[in-house]
Amino acid sequence: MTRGDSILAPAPLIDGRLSPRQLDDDIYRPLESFPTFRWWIAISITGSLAGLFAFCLYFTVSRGIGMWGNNQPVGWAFDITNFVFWIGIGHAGTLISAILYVLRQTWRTSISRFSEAMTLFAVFIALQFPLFHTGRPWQAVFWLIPFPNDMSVYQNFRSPLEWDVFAVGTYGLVSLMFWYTGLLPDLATARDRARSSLARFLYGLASLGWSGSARAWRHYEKAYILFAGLATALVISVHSVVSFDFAVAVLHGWHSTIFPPYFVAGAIFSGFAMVASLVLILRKMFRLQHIVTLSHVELMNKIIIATSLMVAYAYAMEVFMSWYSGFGPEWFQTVTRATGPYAWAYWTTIACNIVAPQFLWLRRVRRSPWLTYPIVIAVNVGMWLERFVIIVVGLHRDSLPSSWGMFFPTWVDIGLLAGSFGVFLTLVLLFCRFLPTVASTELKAVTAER
Amino acid sequence: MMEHADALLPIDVPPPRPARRLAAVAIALMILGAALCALALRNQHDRSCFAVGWLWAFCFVVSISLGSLFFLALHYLTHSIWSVVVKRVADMLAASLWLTPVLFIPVALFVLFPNRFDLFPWLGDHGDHEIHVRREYLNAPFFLARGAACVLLWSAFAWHFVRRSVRQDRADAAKSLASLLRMRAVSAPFMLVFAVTLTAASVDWLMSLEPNWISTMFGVYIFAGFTVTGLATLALATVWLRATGRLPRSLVSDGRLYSFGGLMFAFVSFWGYIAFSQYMLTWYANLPEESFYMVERAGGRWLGVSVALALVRFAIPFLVLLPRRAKMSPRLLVATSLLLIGGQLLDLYWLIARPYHSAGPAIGWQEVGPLLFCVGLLGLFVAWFVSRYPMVAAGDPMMEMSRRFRET
Repeated sequence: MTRGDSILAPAPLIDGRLSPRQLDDDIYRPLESFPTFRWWIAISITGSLAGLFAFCLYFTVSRGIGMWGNNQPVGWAFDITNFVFWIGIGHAGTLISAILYVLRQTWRTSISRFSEAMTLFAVFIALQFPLFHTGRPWQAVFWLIPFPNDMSVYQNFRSPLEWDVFAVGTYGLVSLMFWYTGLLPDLATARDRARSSLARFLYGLASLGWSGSARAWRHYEKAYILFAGLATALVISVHSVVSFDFAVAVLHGWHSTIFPPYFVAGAIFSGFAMVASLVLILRKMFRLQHIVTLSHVELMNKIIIATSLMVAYAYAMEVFMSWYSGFGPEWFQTVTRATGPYAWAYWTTIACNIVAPQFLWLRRVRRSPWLTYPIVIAVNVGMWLERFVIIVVGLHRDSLPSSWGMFFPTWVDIGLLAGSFGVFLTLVLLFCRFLPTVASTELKAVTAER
Repeated sequence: MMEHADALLPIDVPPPRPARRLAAVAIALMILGAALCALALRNQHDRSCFAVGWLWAFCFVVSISLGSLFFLALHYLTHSIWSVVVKRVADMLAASLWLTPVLFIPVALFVLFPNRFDLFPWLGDHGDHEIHVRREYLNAPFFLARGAACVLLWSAFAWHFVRRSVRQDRADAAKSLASLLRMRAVSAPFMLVFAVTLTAASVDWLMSLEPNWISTMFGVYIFAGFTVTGLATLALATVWLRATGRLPRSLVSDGRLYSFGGLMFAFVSFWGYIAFSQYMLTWYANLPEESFYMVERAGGRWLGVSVALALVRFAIPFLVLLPRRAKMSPRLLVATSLLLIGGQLLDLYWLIARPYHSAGPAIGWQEVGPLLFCVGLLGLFVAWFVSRYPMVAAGDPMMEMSRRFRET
């Protein structure tokens, strides 16, 4: 091997040489050992926050949407901001599991399972916000899903909100099936390794009686690539449809043709930041540093800076075009964002989403979990604020100054936001206890190929 | 994806040899084109049509070369392995960016002599109060400065990548490696420059033809089209070079073409997505200050062009390239590439010519002249390049790895 080969060869998928058995031992250890003290501490904190979420939802339903800070003219605020934020978080999972699979990026294997699970949890949480914004969520099924009824009342199919129901619903279902299909061989491994008969029975049930025969593998591979292809299209379409919620409106700051790809890039950006912020902790907590290596951290950081630059391009295009057009109301909207009462949110967004990731140009920063961490946290904050800026700033100053108004969040708004993180992290912690966080079967296959 | 451990036979690099037939055809096209251009300069009407045609042909050639330069930079940026065997083809087409500073001169003349050519409506005093553009952005000196910066920067980057690549052919292993690492390092900042310059160029050369219209998506739309065109031309050139024995079949198998087909499929879908989003959002919001652009292209005989655009650039290639086998079939790949290159011509015509032909699309000899000349020039450049440089980048340190790479 010459010097060139060692520099140019792709980074190893895992550090060191592990036998399939050792790999399984490392991956399945959290499932098979009693939870650590730290895990209990963590879940009690996140569980309390999840309880806050449930309480705030109860409060919202029992007292009404008036408990939120939404008002006239700011009819959408934290709820839709949270919805778009959480849907966006899910995107990294599908990008890693589907798009990187289609692009034959084998390094994805170490983090794919975890990020797919994250997708499902994030989509589940995202759905709660529009659902509860309807006020009577138990009736929402009649309002959202079209089915024949006596009154001949149908949904408004021209509304992007109705498109959302289908886009997010399809995305959620396909993601679930894709994730579950990938999980089957690993569930079978968990079954085969299980020591208690209950665990063996439950994992056996969940693995649908996976036998590992050549025929089963053949069907599995076919289904997997099919789901990957579908999910690739869906990950683009779902956030594009979410962006239509704003872009089809004739509201300055909302109606912008670049919104679909801009939202998709932003979603992948925030999703990767979220994957990184959780994976960096988990790989340490479960001692998986040799499976989720520094090369993985570096590659994730490269995607973060690439998507950060795409988002920066979209910000720049919005500012430039509003100026170039010479159209007063558009330019007023741009100036309001930068100098109005919510200017702090706009500039924090710029600092978090555009300025902070620039440090990732340095290889040293990309390969250091400690230096990466503050950046990915900043991106999480920045991407939430970005949606807040789009939604609230767009609404609070209309074309008529007589209908201007301000939005102030109530404690219920803040409780729901904090609580949504609690639900999310609780689900993540439970997932780590009961299901393998790394796609062990696929990892064995790709390391053998290398 | 899998690699074999066994040793590979040394590559048999076909030495460069002249492409006489291509050169002859290219020169014939250039002469014919130049004659038509000269004829068109005689009177005001023909001159205006010539200006439209020149802009059309210029943007077309830029889309091929710039799309290829983007492919090349993407290759370095992503440390791509499969594409090393076809890297020189991309080098060749990217190097044709060196022609663009020359081809830009007529565009500069259109701006400097607005009364003679009448191309950009924001120039001069038309007494049209409807035009509310930013004069501080759309004015002759700034326009020329931006255009010059774009073509010079592209040429400089093409020079950087291509010169290093051809030098690798004769350099020793250490130098080759250093050169590769340098190109990788430059590819990332290039992407920033590319995004800014391509957007500036598309606003100046295409969007400003209807100065009241804006779309924040426009730069992305142009990028999608350019990339598809670059890929299609690369695939076409690769199949041609393979058929003429300049690229060994052992290096570029039908299986290797799969990656071209796959990338092309991805960018065809991307173009469809971007074009649909731009159209749908404009249609849905239906704001008169921006929907007029689509309305005037959806009425009368222009509707046919719009529908053809959707078919040629998206629907047909999407369906053709969808099956796995199609991506590996050289014949289908060539047919699709030709269709997509035609689609780029149609798209540019759709963007450029509408304001000058409001009654319906019409292509006269005045517009064909510049196209023949520019395409001929590109062909001549290709003929020169293949007569001078080997088409296998044998000195690339990644070549071994690329040869071992197998499509799965």
